[in-house]
Amino acid sequence: MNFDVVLDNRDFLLDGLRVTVFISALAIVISLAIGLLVGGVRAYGPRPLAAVAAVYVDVVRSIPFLVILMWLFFAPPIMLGVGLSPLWTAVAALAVHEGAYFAEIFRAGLLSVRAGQTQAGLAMGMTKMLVIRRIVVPQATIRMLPPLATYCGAIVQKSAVTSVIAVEEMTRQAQLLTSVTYRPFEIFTSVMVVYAVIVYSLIWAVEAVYKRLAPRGAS
Amino acid sequence: MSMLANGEALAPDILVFDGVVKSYGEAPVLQGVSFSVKAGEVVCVVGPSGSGKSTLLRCVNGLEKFTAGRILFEGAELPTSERSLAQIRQRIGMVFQHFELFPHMTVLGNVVEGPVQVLGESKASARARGLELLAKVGLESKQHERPANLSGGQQQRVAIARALAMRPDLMLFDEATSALDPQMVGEVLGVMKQLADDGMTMLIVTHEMGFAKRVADRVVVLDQGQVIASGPPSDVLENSANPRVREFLQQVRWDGAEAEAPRT
Amino acid sequence: MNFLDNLDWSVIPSNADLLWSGVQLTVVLTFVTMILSIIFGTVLAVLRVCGYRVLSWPSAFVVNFFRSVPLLLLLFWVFYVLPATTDIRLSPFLAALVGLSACGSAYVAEVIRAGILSIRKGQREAALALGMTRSKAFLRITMPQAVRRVIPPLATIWVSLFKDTSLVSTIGVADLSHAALSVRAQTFRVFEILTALAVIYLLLAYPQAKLTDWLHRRLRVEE
Repeated sequence: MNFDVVLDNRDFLLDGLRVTVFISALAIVISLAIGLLVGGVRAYGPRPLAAVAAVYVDVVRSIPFLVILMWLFFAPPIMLGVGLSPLWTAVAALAVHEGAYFAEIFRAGLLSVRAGQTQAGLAMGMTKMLVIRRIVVPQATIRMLPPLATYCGAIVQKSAVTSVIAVEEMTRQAQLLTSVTYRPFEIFTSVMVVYAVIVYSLIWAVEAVYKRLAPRGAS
Repeated sequence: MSMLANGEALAPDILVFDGVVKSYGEAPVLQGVSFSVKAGEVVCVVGPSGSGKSTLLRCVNGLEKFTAGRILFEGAELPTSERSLAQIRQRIGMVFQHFELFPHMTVLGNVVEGPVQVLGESKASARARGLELLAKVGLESKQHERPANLSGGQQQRVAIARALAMRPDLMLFDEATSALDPQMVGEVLGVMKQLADDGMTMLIVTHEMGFAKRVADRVVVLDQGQVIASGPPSDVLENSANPRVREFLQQVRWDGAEAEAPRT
Repeated sequence: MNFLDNLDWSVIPSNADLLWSGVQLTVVLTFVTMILSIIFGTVLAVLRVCGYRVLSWPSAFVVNFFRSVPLLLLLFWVFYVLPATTDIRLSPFLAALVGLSACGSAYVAEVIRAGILSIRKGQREAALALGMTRSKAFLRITMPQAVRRVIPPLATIWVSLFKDTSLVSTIGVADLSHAALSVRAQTFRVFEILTALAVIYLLLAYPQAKLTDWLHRRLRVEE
């Protein structure tokens, strides 16, 4: 066992880490937007629109991420003649996939705010939109923090799968490095620990913030 | 026009229930309720649980829809569109059983929320008036606290200040003391009595018979969705000949809390 | 020209046997993984809440580690790294089972721990006040109530495991994804086979997801 191979090639692995962080961060931002939109439509939208949103959520939740990723990578060139690069396919697949889960979190969060809170807002003459914006969303946001953190962690974890379409993120870099150095134990173990540290500290940090804010989201 | 015209009252009717009916599917909740509330009057609605008191109250500001009949507020029938309803609600304050303070705002934030967001007042003037109202309910010192750090009685007093901040013409109280520990009931009733003394028009659903007897101008007894008695507290609560009223009164607790001066 | 004209969907029925055996393997793998995960997850959860730090700390570490690591890397590690470093050589299927179960056990442990902790302390105290021993109070009072709360999230874990088994195709386990990808390699009917793969997963997992939603509604505990 000799971890020098990892230290000697740290720039190569760090390049992978940068790509992992980049696609994860971008996918998280887009997933949040999708989740807010789709979850909001499911909670408050007109029925036909809510039904469309429900179909998106149910379909995506029923198909493995690997399959969505491969489909998004291989199908568009066949259908349209053009496709996305591996990197942007990775971001799109992560966002489409996790967006459905985020939507469920948003919906559950919005609906978990007591009816009495909405009524209190209405009773003082607020419009429904104002009630949602000023009263429901701030409380729901606080309540959603722990599950959102878990699924943001899941995005980082799932980003490893994008190595199968040769996105040069950390897992792919680890594979390439292993094929050259033949030191799988040191390389894969190190990379695994890096993932664990990123994902766990993300969840832990949000949990710490949540503990302080929780009373403000509890009505 | 008042359904219960009593000759000496010249103040206009601010609120009129005219044959209000409400049912959930087959089950009737309100079966033709008619009475009215004059400006400056304090009317307590009492009755056994399940009699439809809270439902009736919530029909006034449209939180519940009724099936038939009319409710007139300041002479005009309640609108049906949410937008016009919102404008009516600006003039009707409501206090809830479970307070419903907004947990993500400070105490003062709760009180200025309506004036700033709904009435479009400036933050500075809303805050100044909010502090006055908090002082009135004895909680000026708690302005920066979060609701979660307040006792139930304190939360309900803030909720009253929040409703008053809208300068309502009518205040609705939906079992405002039912969720409180017994030792906190008095401080909330005290604030309510003070409001009544200031001349606020109030429609109060309550289980506190002692309070109703001392503060109400008129008591309405509701049973199974119908008004079974209505009149001055002394007539209704002490000398009623109606057997259903007498039966109800025997079942309630009379040794309720006294209205107290607000504590901080 | 319309790309639809170029499609040849006959590759799906002509490889139905291969896909069907893939489906069977996916279901078997999910089922066995779930059993193992419930066993090890329960052990980890009980160690976590037992009150002895020597046991609860390692359990917490194991759970948090395996919850935070990408499953794909875990599978690589068990299948490629372990034999390269030690004498342990697992077949693809066994390696898949180990990797999936390590991950599944960690998730199950968290769910069971939350279930146990959600039972009010008063319930346990009432049992102790009746003269029950600590273990009897746990088995007779806390556990049965926790089971009800644990079933819906366990169903959620089942559905995500079902989908996550697709990753075992990367270490050569002949599951549904692997079957589809090998058909793709033979026929170059990429669009048809990937679309069919997505549809097959959808048909299989959608009823499971709906059943899970129903369980969540049905067994919801009102506080």
